[in-house]
Amino acid sequence: EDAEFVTKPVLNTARLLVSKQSHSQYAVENMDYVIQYDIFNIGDQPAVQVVLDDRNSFPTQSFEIVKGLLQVRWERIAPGENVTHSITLRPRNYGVFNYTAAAASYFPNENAKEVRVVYSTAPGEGYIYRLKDYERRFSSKIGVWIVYLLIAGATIFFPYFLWNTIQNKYPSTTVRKQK
Amino acid sequence: DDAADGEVQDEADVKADETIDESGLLISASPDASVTFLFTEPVGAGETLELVAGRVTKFLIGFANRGEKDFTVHFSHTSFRYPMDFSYHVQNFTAARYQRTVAPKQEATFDFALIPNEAFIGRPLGLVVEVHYSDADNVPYVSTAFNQTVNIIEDESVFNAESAFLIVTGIGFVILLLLLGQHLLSRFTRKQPQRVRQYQETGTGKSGDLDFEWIPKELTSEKKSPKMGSPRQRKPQKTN
Repeated sequence: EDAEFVTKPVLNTARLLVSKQSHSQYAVENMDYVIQYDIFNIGDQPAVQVVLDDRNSFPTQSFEIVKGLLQVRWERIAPGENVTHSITLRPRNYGVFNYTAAAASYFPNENAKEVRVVYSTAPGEGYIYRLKDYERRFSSKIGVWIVYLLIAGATIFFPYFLWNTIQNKYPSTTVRKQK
Repeated sequence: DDAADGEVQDEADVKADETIDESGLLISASPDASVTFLFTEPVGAGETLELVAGRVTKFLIGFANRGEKDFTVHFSHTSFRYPMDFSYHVQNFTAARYQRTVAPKQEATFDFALIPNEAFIGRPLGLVVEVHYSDADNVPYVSTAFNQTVNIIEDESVFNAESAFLIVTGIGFVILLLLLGQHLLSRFTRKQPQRVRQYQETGTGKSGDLDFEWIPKELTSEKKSPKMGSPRQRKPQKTN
């Protein structure tokens, strides 16, 4: 029964948790890669002037930004609320890549003077697949099916052709009922 | 409990925020570190304290450095404990290595995900999440991010193969019953005219239908076989 009367300690501050995760199962060169950022305010004060910056993680020489911004700003995130932001990227080349943490800065309440910095979760090292390797594993393989049909068709149509020529040369001599 | 007697101190006596490492040293939380915890999956697990078996449970750990020295967060360790005795580990999850340095006045977020086993359905379990970190002087600390009893509930939201098969079988059974019912109804209500049999197979009784043309002519031309008699009667016929 005592547990019901236990209330959260008064923090008098906003506290942000920032999660960064990828929504694409595979990172492939020149294919879309979706990153989602979630910011949760678990404090009891609104977080003011929240700026999420992830420009350090995705240098433009290795990533092309298809959609979304790497630096976003929210005026206010109320306590208990969360916001989601996602971006679409395209890796320019393949290989191992280290996905580092994004940084978010915020003022922990309405009158705060000192800005706070919170780092997001880091997905860590991941492999960016070569497009050729990816397609070898996951493409629809239409070429393979066409070759298969050609081979399978040969085994059916060549005997038919033989039968047909014989049939034309020697017409059937079946005896009909004479009635 | 007199520790001076040299008896081994029970781990259960240790307070929630303290653990004993292998060397027997008591490691506690640093007063300069503030650790927060949030379930992100399943939604609302923080209030209901219910985790779904077989589904991913995700949570975030917030680590704030309120001191003057750098902290290095090494790893988080998650385990299920026996709810009556939290020193009894039911399941230990692989520690998540972070190895991240958090500078003074900075905060960092870490995440971990686990899947509660379906063997735990309907059972309360103690979920303990510990964060292991050290300061710039390599003094180790452990903070407990989460230490409560959670219930493992069954996953009822998704399509499961068992119920799907049951539904398909049920539908098939209903269709079968309908067909049977329709058949019986039509049999009892409608008077069906007797079908006229147009052709009946009579076997090879009538030989007119048979096609003997494949047999060479000389074989099919009927020859009267000589009447069988005694050889004595035949002999005079030949001589004549």
